[in-house]
Amino acid sequence: MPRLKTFSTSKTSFYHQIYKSPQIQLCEISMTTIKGARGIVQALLDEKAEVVFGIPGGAALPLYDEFHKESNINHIHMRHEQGAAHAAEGYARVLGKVGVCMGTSGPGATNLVTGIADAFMDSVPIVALTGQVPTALLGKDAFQETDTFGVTLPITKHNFRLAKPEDAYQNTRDAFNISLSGRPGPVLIDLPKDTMVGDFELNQDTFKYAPLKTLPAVSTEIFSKVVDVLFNAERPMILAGGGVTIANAGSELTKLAELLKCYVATTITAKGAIPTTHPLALGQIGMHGRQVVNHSIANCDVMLAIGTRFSDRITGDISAFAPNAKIIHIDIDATEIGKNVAVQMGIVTDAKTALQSILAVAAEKQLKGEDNLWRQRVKALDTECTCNIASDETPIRPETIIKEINAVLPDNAIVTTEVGHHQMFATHFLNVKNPRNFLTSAGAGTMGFGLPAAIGAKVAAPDQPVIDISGDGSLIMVCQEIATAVECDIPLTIALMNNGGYAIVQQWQKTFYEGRKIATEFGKHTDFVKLAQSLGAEGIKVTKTSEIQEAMKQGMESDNVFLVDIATSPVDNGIPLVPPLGKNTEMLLGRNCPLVKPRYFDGE
Amino acid sequence: MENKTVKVTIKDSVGALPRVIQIFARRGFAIEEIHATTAGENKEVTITFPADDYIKKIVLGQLNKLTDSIEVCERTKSNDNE
Repeated sequence: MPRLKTFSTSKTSFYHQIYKSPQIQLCEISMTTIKGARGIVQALLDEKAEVVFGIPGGAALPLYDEFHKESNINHIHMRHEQGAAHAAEGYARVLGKVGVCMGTSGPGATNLVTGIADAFMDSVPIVALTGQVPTALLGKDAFQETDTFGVTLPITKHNFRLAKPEDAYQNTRDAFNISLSGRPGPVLIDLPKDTMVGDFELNQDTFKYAPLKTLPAVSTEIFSKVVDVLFNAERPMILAGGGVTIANAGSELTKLAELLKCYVATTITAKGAIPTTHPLALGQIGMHGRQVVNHSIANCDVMLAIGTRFSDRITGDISAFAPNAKIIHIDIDATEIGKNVAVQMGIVTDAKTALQSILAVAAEKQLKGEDNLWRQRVKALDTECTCNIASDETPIRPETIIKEINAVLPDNAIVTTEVGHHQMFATHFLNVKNPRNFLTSAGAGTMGFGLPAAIGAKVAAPDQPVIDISGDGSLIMVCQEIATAVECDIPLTIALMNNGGYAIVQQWQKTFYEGRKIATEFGKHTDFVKLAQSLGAEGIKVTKTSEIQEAMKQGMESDNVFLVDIATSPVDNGIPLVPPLGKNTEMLLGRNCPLVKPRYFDGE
Repeated sequence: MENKTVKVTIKDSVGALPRVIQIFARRGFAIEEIHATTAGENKEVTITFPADDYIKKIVLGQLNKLTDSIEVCERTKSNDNE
């Protein structure tokens, strides 16, 4: 088994988190009698899952005892199970492999639920292991008994409850296979204590995954039709979703956009699939999208939508969403085709296969009108609605904070966000050059995602700088995970955009509830620097624009968790907003985003 | 809306029936009648529910998407007689 990745740091206390016992050798497994818990550990090893993010508890102890005996399992001791699930997500989102989290029965399992639901919404492959009371006590309202299987049924791709020790190895390995296959998602295994302590005979030689459904291949003729439609389009647009990132199809997406000279709109899970600095990367679509994107989508005649599920935040009022477009929808999940938006062509396959197939056919074609009126007009509108985000105002404008971070952000940096205003400013203005380098909670919108996800990301990619762009409302929900990162020597930079409340909720109160603000401002402001220091991290307060770059550099050079507490304001509605289920072209605009009249498209 | 009847064959493991039912519950779709029998290692679940074409498409798609489902078919008059 490969040794664990370690961090480039002088400290050695990272190893405190590794449960190892040098006296105990790996068992000779072939046809060996072992405990159920050892079967699970063996399955983790065979799936090359060397990291587990978790918290122990009574019903989880048989498995934790096996972690103690197994030096090849690196257990990261989180401070809350929600953090464990998000850390597993961060790990999985960076590597594209399964992340593992663990909690005990009852509250341990229900605390994992938020992270599992988050992974379900964003199609992230994680396996959650939960302790459970012994089978004989199920349904008896035993101590820390919750029907974890029932609770997680609607928020997992699949879930298991071990019926007997014999299922431990098979179900665990199947869980990994299910989690990663097709459209990825979370799989939970509930582990009644007796199934972990009971013995069974394991024969790895005869192991086979339970068969899964496979997708039929799509014929070349179908992709030829797609190419014909794309090449004959006068006003084409590509809409890329998270499926492009998941399929590692970013370079293919960029190639196709260049071949077609076609502008690309992205959902926030696709940020970085095409570098945000690419001239054809138009940016974010939807509720908080850019005006140029929403107007271009509304006026296109052909839309190639890849790996997106057309959520309400993307489409707004569906009747006004790309009303004149022929929509070609490619998704790996057949149930997504026609679910939210009626489409003219639906193709069920993964984004990489689709884009490669389209490119193979398209390579033989000659594009006409590559600088036609449509492209000129989109380009002009793009230029016109580029916001000026430079400012030295105090408190510092949120968009200016992102601009300053861009200036010092290494190309290989991984950025996570929490959820709220800071997230929307980051999705709008942050430069992301690589897929899987921008991790955000999109579908579930989970406040508190960013910090634990950053921990998972840093464990997955120890050589890359990891930055959590955070808000104070989100950070305080998960701030205890600073202690996790400090204890495990996981260096992170937290760029805290501190506006003293829930600014995005307050924006809604101001916009839709006649300014009646309730529970969106903190009456007592937390001193986050002192909080970070009390947990063993470092911190610095920033009140001027000119101080941000230096503070961020200091954070990224530190071998500790480093919090940059940046004072900003909640009063700035700096991002466009489409009222819920309103038309995407009828945006309410912030002070820094002047209305761009889509006159270029009038009459078309 | 007209009643439709579908039959899903699903691996008979813990929670097979709740997996089927939650597809309806989550979306607020009604179930008029449901019948389950054991067939070897599987369960055969027959469900009658009011549906237009959209609801039927969603239900069939989601049943097929279940990891443990083996076969999903819609009962039409012709296969009803078989």
